[in-house]
Amino acid sequence: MNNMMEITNLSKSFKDFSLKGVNITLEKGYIMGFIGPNGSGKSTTIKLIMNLIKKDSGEIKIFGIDNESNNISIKERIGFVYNENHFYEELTVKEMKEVISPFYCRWDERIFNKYAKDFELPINKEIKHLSKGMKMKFSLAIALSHHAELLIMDEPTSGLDPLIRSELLEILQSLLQDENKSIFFSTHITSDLDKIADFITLINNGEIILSKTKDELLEEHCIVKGSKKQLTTNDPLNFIGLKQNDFGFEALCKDKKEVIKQYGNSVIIEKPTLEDIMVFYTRRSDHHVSSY
Amino acid sequence: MYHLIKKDILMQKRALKLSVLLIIFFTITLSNIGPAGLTVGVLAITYQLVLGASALEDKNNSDIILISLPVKRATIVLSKYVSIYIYAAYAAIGFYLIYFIVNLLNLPLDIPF
Repeated sequence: MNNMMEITNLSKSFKDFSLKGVNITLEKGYIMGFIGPNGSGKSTTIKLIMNLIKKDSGEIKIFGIDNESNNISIKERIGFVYNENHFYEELTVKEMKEVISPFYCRWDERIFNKYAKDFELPINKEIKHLSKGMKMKFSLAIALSHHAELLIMDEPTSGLDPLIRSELLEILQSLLQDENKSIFFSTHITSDLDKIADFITLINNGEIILSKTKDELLEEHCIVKGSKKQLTTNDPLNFIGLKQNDFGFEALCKDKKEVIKQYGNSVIIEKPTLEDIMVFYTRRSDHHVSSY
Repeated sequence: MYHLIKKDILMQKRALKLSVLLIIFFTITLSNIGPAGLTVGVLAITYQLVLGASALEDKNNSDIILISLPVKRATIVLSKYVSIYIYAAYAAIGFYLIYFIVNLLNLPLDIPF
């Protein structure tokens, strides 16, 4: 059993949005970054994985078993962090921990205390008085304290300052030293993934556009920039998110070698960042917001 | 289940303090309508606590946390129903205690419950 999570042909439709045939596979010991613009279905997918909403069709297997019929035993082994605080604000950190801990049979008080100390969590403070960063650290401490094998996080870094963000990423990275753990986390801050992700899955409009290792992704793709003339003379390769203006064109290309073969040195070829890849893939060609 | 009910009670620390005051208040005001007053009092306290717990749950959107935990949905719902009886028992005991204290100290208060 090497696959931590296996999602096949998952679909779910709402009145005005639908998730169409999502396929994701996450192997043991890796971090998968789940990126996409706002409203593209990231949170919906995560809700489906956590079994918060019912799927229409498809299959979600976590630890090799179906997530609906084995709901409880799976959740026992999952740690979750959501982007907003859903804890009871009236309770103190310690009380909240005491509410949650009895539900997990593998809860480890020692680990929680260690994290609480490392994160400098104010144990006797009410949750409503904690800062956003602290609340996030608290959810993370809760998620990590029951020997979870799979960590599912829904935009854990949004709204956090760079310092806490990098701290959080470091913790995640150190977690993966244990090879039996996997992390699946969605974000729209792609620079986070530059640092830690092994796999990247890009979702747009309810469809998975690509799901690859990060290195492969960055290696294959390139940004091509050139003058407009070149674009018309050569037959256009399969450019993604082509953008033209009076000065020239700019596009992302899937196949670096092919570009070099066709254009040679006449165009500028740049190495893309994850952000570029996300922006080019999700850019709507017919849709342009102009400034007045 | 036990932990879910414990959580509901823990959450309502403030509401519980208020309910003690309410019990005293009801003992004084409702005592002139006879035994029916006790029923009304217990009902009111239970109502306050049950709805209070649900309101807090709603305010924090904590249902998401609860169903993400390894608990059956049925248990979560059932615990809410069971908690009604616990609040009712609490209110009844509260009223009885007041009655007991009043009798013990021979206070000039007539409680017909």
